This record gives sequence, C-alpha cells and structure tokens, in this order.
Amino acid sequence: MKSKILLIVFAALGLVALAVVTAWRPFSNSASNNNFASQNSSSADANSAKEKNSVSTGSVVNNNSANVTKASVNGITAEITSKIEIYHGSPSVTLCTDAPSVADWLPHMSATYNGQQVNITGWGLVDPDSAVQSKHRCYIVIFEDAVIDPSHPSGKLLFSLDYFEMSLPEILPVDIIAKARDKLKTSGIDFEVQSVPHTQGIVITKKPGSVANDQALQAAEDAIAASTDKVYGPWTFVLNFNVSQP
Amino acid sequence: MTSRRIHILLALILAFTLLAIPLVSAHASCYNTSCRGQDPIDMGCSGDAQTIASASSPAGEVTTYLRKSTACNAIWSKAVKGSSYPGNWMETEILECANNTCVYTKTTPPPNPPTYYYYWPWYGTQQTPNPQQATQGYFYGDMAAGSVHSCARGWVYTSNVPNFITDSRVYKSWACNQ
Repeated sequence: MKSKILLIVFAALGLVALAVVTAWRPFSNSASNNNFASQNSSSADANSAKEKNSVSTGSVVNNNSANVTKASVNGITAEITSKIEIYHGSPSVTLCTDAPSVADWLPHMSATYNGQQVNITGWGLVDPDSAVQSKHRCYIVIFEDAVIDPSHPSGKLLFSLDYFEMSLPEILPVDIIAKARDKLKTSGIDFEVQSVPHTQGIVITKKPGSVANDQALQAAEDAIAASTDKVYGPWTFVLNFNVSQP
Repeated sequence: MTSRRIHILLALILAFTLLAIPLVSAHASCYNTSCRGQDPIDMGCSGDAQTIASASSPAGEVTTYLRKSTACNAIWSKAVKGSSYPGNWMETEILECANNTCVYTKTTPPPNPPTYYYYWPWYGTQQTPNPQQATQGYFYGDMAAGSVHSCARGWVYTSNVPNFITDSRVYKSWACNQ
C-alpha cells in the first residue's frame, strides 16, 4: 500500500516538474525579420528616425561584369549576393558569409568609393531569428548616402570585410579581464572592474606616476578591446556601378 | 523488500527534483512583452544575447548595437563610445516604432524602458562632482519586446552642466530590428 502511495506521489511530482519546465519555455516567435541600421550625427530627435524609416526603397543601382563579388580567405567564403540597392534612403549591399562559429561575431568592414574612404554606417542581420542559430549569416550593409553622388553617376566601390570580432557581452568575461591585465603588466598599469547598474566601470588600481588617470583608463580599455578573439581576412570586393535614373 | 523500494523511490524523487531545478533556473524570467522595461542581466536574458544590428556615427564617436535574446524574445540597446571622442555624457534608449513613427519609450505606457544617463567614469545615474574627460565606455538599456519594431539609439556628447548639453557636437547612431 505504501509503495502504491509513493508511486502516485512520484508520478505527481514528475508531472508537476514537467509542467513547470514546459511552461517556462517560450511559446511564440519574434515578428522581426529584415533589419536595417542607420545613423545620424545631428542633434535630431525621434522624428529623424521616422523620416529615415519613411524613405521608399527599391531603387536599384546596376552592377557590371568587372565586379568581384566573392572572396575566400582562411577557409571562410564571403559573397555579395545583391546588387547595390537603395535601402531606406541609403545605398546598401547584402553580404553573406559563414561566421567562424554560431557565437556573436561582429563584422568589421571598410570601403572606398573612387579612391576616397566612405563610411559604413551600419549593418543588420537578414532574418535575425534564424541567423543567430547558424554560422551562415547575411548582412545588409549600409553605406553613407554620399556613396552615390548624382554628379558622378559612375563609380567603383572597393568594399572589404576586414575581420570578425567576438562581441563583448554585457558583463565582461573573467578571461578577457585577465588577458587585458596581463597585457598591461609591462606598463605598470593594473585595474579592476566594478559592476554598476547597466554597465561596468574600470577602476585603475595601479599606474606609474607619469601616467595620467585618463591615459591609464584608455590603456585598460584598449587592452580589453585587444583581448577579444578575432578572425582576420580581408575579404575584398569590387563593385562597379551606374546610378539608375528614376 | 518494501523498505528497499521506498529507498529507491525516494532516491529517484530526489534525483528528479535535483534535475528539474537547474532546468527551470537556466531559463529566463520573462518573455517578449513581459520583459519590457526590465534589465536584461537581472532577467537572465543576456546569456544568449546576439547583436542583430549595428550603427555608427560618422567618425565612430558612438556605436549602437541592437541586442537580442532568443530565449527571452527581447531586445535592448547597447552604446559604446569611441576612444577618439572626449565626450563625457552618454545615453541609450529603445524607440518603439509603428507605421513609420518611432517614439521615445518614455512616452509610452509603463513599464517604460528608461533612458540611462551616465557620466564618465560610470557613476550610475549619479552625477560626478567633477566629470572627467571620457576615453571610452559602454552601457546598455532596458528591454523591449522582441516582437515589436524597435530601434536602439546611442548618444554621446559633452556636458559640464547637469542635464544640459554644453557642446554643440552631439553624436548618435541607431539600429533597428526591421
């Protein structure tokens, strides 16, 4: 009799535990899909975002046959999979590649247009919900508006995916802090990281008298940045184009 | 024999309970809309965070990352100040967008993901008596629902007077999830 009671208790506990675990899991999926990134340097407000978002999309800038749209370095292949398109008012391309792993790798990119450096103002993952589960990721890469100059409708865009960098999480990992402190040993600088709401603060605990606190802080930040994992390319592309007149 | 069975059953119950506890605690404490206005670390959402969009101001004064947790289906902003800009004031926020209109979340019904202000070198929401020149820094905002079209924005500028911008150079960037 006791055994039967215990069996019933065990079964009930199991069902309760299963129900709790199941209920904790998320049920619905995000509605977000194609994202974009943009920037502004003025003292504008939310209306700027509205304005940026309201620009129509769809204008296409044609590529030609002299383009280089695929590159392989260090076993990683990257490919431009779109024409240059006007996306939310800014020129953009879609870049697809296999990241080094499914971790949060940040692509670092650079570009020149007709020999002059142009800013890459942002990027966004295509279909982010799926992309973050896979090494294969496509990015919409957005260039500064000046890339397409109506007075110079023809141009050559040299675009490079320079390297991948592992992102720093909201709480700095212990091993990154240790690496950074180790890098600073020869300079006589040491620091510790303090948690404060919504960030972490660096406090310099040791520095030579000739080094100002600001300089020591900068050195600590640089050491932290240099301690992240990186995978270098570059993966370089050449895009020749003419602006399609509306 | 009965005693042995009881011991086995008790052991099984204990083992199952111990197994179930970590399964539960490994999950986040909120999901989608229930994450709105919450701290991603406090809610256990930062562990699987990935950057889904990024934007920078022209000379890299500030870079804004839109971060997303799949487990929580929630997003938040993270702003990083470039090392070359000496501004001492930073701000980041999530703007929620609908019909091509993005609004400050602080104007939307509570709980609102608030805007966070920090002086260098990081004193939370407290003003430092003598703000030092910034070198580099980062901070993140509270969460918004991952299912909502939102934009993360980061600001950096110079101020020597609390709550007032004393430098005309204001740099910002934003990144959106759609």
